[in-house]
Amino acid sequence: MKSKLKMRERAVAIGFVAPLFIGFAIFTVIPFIVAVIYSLVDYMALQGKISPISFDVYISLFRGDLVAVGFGQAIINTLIIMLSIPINLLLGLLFSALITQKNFRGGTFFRVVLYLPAVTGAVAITLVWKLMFNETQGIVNIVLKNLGIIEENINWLGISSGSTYPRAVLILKNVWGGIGGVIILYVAGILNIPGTYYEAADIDGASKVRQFISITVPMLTPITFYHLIVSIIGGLQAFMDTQLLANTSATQTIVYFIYDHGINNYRYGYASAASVVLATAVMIITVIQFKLSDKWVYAE
Amino acid sequence: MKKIPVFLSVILFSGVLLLSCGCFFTQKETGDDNISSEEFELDPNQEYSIEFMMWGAADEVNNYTALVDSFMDEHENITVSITPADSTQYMSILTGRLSGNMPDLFYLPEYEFRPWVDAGRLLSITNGFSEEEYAGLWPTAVDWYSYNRETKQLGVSDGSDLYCLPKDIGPWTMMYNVDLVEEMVKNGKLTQEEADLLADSDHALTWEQFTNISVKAQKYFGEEKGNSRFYALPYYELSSAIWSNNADYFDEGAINSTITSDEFVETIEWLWDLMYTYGVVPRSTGDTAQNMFLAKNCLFCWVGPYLTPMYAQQKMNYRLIPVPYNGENPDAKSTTWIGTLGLAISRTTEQPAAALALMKYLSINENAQKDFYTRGQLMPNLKSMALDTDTFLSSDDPSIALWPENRYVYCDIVDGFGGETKEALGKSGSDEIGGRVRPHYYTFENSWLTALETEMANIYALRDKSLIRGRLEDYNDTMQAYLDRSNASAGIVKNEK
Amino acid sequence: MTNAIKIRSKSRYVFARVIIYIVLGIAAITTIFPYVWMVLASFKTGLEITTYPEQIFPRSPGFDAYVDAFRKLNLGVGIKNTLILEVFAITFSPLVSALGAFSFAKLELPFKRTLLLILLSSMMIPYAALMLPQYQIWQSIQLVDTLGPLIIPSFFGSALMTFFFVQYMQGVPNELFEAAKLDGAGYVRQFFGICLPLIKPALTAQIVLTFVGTWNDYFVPSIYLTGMESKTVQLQLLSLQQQQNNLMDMNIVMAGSVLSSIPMLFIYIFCQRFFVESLAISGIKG
Repeated sequence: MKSKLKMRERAVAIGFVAPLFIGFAIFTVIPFIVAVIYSLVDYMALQGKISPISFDVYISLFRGDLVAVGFGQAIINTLIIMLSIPINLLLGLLFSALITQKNFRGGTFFRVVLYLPAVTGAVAITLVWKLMFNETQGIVNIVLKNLGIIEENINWLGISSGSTYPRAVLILKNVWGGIGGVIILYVAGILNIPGTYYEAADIDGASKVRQFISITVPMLTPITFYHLIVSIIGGLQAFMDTQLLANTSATQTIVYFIYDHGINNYRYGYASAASVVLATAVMIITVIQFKLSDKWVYAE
Repeated sequence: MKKIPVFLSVILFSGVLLLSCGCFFTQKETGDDNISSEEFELDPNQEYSIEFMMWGAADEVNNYTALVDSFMDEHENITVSITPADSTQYMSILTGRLSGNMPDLFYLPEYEFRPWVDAGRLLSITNGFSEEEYAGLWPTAVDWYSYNRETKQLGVSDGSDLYCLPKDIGPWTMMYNVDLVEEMVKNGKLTQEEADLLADSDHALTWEQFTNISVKAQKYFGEEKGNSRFYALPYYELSSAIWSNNADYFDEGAINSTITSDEFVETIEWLWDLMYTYGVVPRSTGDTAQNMFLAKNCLFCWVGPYLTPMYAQQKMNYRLIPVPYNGENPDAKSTTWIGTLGLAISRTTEQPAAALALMKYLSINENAQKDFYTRGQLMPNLKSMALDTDTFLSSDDPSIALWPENRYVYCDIVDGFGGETKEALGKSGSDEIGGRVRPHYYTFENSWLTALETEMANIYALRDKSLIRGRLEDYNDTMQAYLDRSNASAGIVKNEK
Repeated sequence: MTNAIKIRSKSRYVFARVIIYIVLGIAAITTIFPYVWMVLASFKTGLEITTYPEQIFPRSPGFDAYVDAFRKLNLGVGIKNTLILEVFAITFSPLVSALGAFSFAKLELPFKRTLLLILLSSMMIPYAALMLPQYQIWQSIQLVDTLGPLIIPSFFGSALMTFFFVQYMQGVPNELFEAAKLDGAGYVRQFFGICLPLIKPALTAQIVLTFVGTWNDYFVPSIYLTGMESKTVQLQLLSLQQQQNNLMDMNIVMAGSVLSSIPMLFIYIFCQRFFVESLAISGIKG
């Protein structure tokens, strides 16, 4: 009797998750299998050319003779642009600690304002950033020039003034756009920390800075961890937002590389292989992060 | 407990099922892509329904919708559905449709022409023209869109076929601000001789003459008048410089890279000089060239026919000039690039006659062409119309009021070095002004060009001119790898040296 | 003596506060500045944006750019398309995800941890890999250039949303469901009668986030919605930008940006509580 009930509940439970998994199968699994097959047969869509099944595409991807350069550069670019992640975490933590201080007025205001970019469409944001950082007409160069900080206009979104500039603009844009979310997370986390911890520390005579380092930071590690995972997964897949703003050799990301060399040149097999490699890398990184998390993430 | 394996096998099974349906892989088209002239003839008793895929801004889509409507009025048995696509995604959408239901007629940019025609995706339209129609086309345009699939040779040759007609032809040349030049002459900053050189549209300036005028303009507007944003020219077109020094990116057939040739290096060094030695070109390419010109922040700028309405609206007083060439190289001629967009018919179309009729209507219908150039949008795709001194080249026809006075420079570029423009205007002398289709037209893949352009930005950032040659030599292997890959995609394997 | 320390510490305290406000103030100004610049540029003329010497404020502010943007954007069609997408995105997706999450969190689902991980793994596959096969699937059933490819996936929920609801539901005591079970309530009734009301904050939060996300999405729509009649607001803005190949018409593009951002700014200002909650829940429990 009881087991029958249980069986029924199981059936219902499976029925309830069924739509999720059907969608997963149709929109992720099947396309992914197709992509893997594409990569194994080195499918070239325009030519309608298929080779016998082999790992040739993967081998040439790693040997790098299919494209002499680019993939390595794309990886470096992606990683450099991902510098915005630690900056976001550090600044976010600092700001959160500041606005959650006792008797601090205006914390909500800052939190609301700093989250504003997250609700604005990427298209509009990119357009206005492009205008602001325009080399000859942009307000940024004009202000810097008038303040005497620079003498010559900086080519922010190109690389003729150096590849640091477009990267810096992208990092800045990511910090600008992402810090609000981090602050909301951290503020919620800080408010969740029992006040007794700090009272005890006060009694021990620990300074505010000391308390911050030995109570706040460790207590927030689960949030840090969560944010790290989500933003690394997102960062590795960065593509369109980055390319809309600055499309240079210093900023072309891994996914841009896949798109350009695979899709633009009809080498679907090659594009698919690169994405399979990227997906695998993302999974490995995520698993490693989870394994390492035991060491430093504070668990209740 | 066994649910997961079951689940996975269901997924796998359905995946295989879908695959076997063939909805993922496209078939290679084989055999002859020619059809007889009878098959291109419209049967007045048959109903046709074709799809036309294009891209464009809202205004352009509206223009073409109106044009297609008037086409349907003339051919009541043909129904056309237009699919406008997003320009940035256009090629991936088009490729996605290869697995089934290709549009009958579609835009194909010239730099995608070679891979598409080589893969057998396009229908040959060679047998679809009368002698008279053929004679009205620009011979250069016929050349761009001809291909021999056997020998993989671009251009008209023995056994080649014609595959596309141009939707538009866009020669990209230089212009100068007439008011600024007059101001310089008036203030004695430029001699009348130099002004006359500029005004002479039948001869291009040499690099030396161009540099001298630029330096004077830079000194006057930039230093004396204190406009810190002034540059003689906003940027220099790479291809226009390279070709005007009789250099090229690769050899015939795009097999071997030639970016380390003396002429090529010399060209890049001259471009570097413009930026660093003379300071007449800003050190980066900007997308703001036209604004700089409008704001009188430069004397020279680049221009093409499509900008005509905008400059007419802004009442800009400008004059076209052929691109400068290296006067010290006896083989160098003024050569700039020409952008063009092709109209192509899918190999798989079931209604070639209707598709060709629409293609001709969009490309070479006289009324439509006249309407386009009257509005300043396009220069005529018909040679016969473009070189007609009663219409496009007339001096008093009000329908060409929007165009610059010496618009024949555009024609002169498009006719290559054929001299037909000069002939039409009754001028004598050899034709020293021409143009070529953009460089990625010659290859099967265009990644090499974006890669080279980004490398160029690195080269322009060098602070020492003597490093340029070495940098290009270093890059040569990469460039060659791109070319090899491009050729390999069409089955061309270079013989090892 | 104690007084002296107090005064000193007091002045130090004030000094620290001032510094904090300055730092945060700079951050806030940096955040807001692009918006201010967007609005200012939309009131300038095209020439004003590009001329020398530069202007910070428009000389004769006018709504010309807005009129032009309205004319070019075809905003009515864009809003209609976007809203159709929104309706499906904010109803079906949260509902299906919540139903799945209910099963994950409260029912006897075999292999739940593994299944959840499998579901989440979909986040790790770059879209570039799936783009083409997905396109071919939609192509084969003739749904390209319709809203279908953007609507139909919402019938199958979202992995991230499911994960979020599972996290939230773990905080809901099981006793409530046990009691309902004893009362003879079926699973569907448990879901609609108990579960949904209990996770209302999470649900609202996700709906608000989805609404904003759908409004701002542009990459996937740009692949499928190619016709003029099927474009969303973001796509219209994108094509408006592509039409302008010079800064001359930047005022129109900026006006379009302002117009497309306003609805979300309003929603954000009025619903900011939900944004905060939604993020906070996901972060703390995740």
